[in-house]
Amino acid sequence: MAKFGTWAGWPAYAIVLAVLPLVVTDPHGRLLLILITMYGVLALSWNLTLGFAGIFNFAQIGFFGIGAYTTGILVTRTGVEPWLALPVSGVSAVLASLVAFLPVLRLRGIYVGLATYVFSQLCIYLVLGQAGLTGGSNGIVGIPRLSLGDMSLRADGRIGYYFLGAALLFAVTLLVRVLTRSTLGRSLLAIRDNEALATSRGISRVRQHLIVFMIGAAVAGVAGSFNAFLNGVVSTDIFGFGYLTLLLSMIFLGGSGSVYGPIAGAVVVTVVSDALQDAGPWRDVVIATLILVVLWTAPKGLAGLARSAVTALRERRGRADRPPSASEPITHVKELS
Amino acid sequence: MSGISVIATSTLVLGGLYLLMAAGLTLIWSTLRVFNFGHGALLMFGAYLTWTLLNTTGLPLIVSLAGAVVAMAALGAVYEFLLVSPFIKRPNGDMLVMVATLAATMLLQSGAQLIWGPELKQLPPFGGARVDVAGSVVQGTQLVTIVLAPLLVGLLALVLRRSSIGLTVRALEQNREHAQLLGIPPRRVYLFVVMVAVGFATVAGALLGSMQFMSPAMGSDPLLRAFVVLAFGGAGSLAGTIAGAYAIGLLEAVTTYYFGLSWSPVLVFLAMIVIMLVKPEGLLHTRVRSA
Repeated sequence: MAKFGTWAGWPAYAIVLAVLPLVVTDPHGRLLLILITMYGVLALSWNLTLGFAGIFNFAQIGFFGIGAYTTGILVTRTGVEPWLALPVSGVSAVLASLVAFLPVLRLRGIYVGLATYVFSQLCIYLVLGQAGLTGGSNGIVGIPRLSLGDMSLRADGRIGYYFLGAALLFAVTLLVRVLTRSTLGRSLLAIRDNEALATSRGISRVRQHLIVFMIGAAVAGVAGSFNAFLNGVVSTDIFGFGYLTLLLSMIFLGGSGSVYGPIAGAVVVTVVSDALQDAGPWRDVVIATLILVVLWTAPKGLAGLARSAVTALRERRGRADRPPSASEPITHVKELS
Repeated sequence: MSGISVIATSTLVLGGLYLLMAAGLTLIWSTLRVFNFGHGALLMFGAYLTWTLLNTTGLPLIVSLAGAVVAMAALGAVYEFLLVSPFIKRPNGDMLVMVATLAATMLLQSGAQLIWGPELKQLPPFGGARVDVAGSVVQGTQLVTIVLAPLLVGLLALVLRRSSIGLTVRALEQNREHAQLLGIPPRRVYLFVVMVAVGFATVAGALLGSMQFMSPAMGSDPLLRAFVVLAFGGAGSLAGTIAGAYAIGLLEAVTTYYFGLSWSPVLVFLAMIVIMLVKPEGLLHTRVRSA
């Protein structure tokens, strides 16, 4: 029963996710909730490689886009059952991740960043080059909506999409939590923090990194598919700078390397970005400034702030019964000088 | 015959532009051990600043460019102070700098959109000189790029080799701790390096802005090519960067000539990935890359 406390949050999390659309009923608010779930899923999956494994992975946006394009091409060209496109997109993103992983084999640190960034940009050129299949710069339009039986997921303010997104978010949160506490997660931290020691203890860097790379890509591919169904269109914007910076700001605002931080980041950045929808370039100015302020003042992000707040609270409570000693002399010295 | 001279011209022009970009990136990389993702946005800002100086003061183009270089170097100092030095000492600092410079790109791009608006702008050609080479004509900005880029980078190499500030830069490159033991203040060197790199990017931006229309996103393509140059020549060596820039220029000119504009970047990037797999330390470099 000792573990009860650690798992008690999960039903609460599920209940919050289930009740939210009943509280937020206007269509715009619902759309915002859906976007939060999608960005949350993406940020969580990206944080696996970027935060926990410490790989400079900038290909995640590419996997997201590849998932979206897979869905777009599948459902408009082959007439395959739309629901099937969701997992297939995950698989195609995993296949793409094998290509993107090649540079990780022999490169380290920042060079991986260069190679994976180039990979995402390469996706744009490939999409534009294969215009017959991908629609080139026009993108793919007319992607059919998902429906469950007779009910379209668009009905009632897109509530179906919300529950699909919320289910994905819940599943991915659980996945990340389980993964980070598993042997795989621990070995990733060991490689990130001291590669020589980890390798000497018998951990294969390439194997562990490949596994986490593929898991992250699969999640991003499914999220891309979700995005394609939600919007009904796919264009090369999906590989663009906008998504890249938005997601990075979510991860670093929430706290890279924390399990739940990116979700908090997704909530804050989505809401802020929506509030500034009409502000044009000012929106980017505000988000960029937000990233920088967080990097300057709280390098561990919101998660780090929350953790230190909890620690401070505990310390204060623990200190209540004995006289405060540490803080007093400091103020005294300040008064003197 | 004209095919070869067209390829040769565009090799020298593209190579020159990439050289100006990549030389700055290499310099920052080898001394600060961080990667500046904002270099493309700085190039763009430099180009727009040159345009403003030209159109508000009525100074000659080359003087406007010089003014923009000075102003951008000052901006580079601020850039170093706000985006690089706060993070460089922290654990995981190279990733933080990468994210901070990405945010700076966002800031500079949206800033340019706010300041200069969406309408198309272009700088006039640098000079009207023209040279006939085997049936094709090279003139104006292209000619200036062909001559100026190697000249500036050669000057930089000379400064690094001969002057006292160059010596301190190279000392920091080779052994940061030992250089500090000898009393070299790294902060001053970092500042110098970033200012020089931003100045070079400004020149590249003005040259590019005179050959094509300027836009807030105009820096992202040259930045990507500069990545490829670094992969090719091995980041951290100026000689490798020079060779890499012209090699990528040649590759791009040839592939554009034979396969068209939309396939050329794909082939260039594929070449980069293959090189990274086969010879990750760079084709012309022997140091193993572990960052």
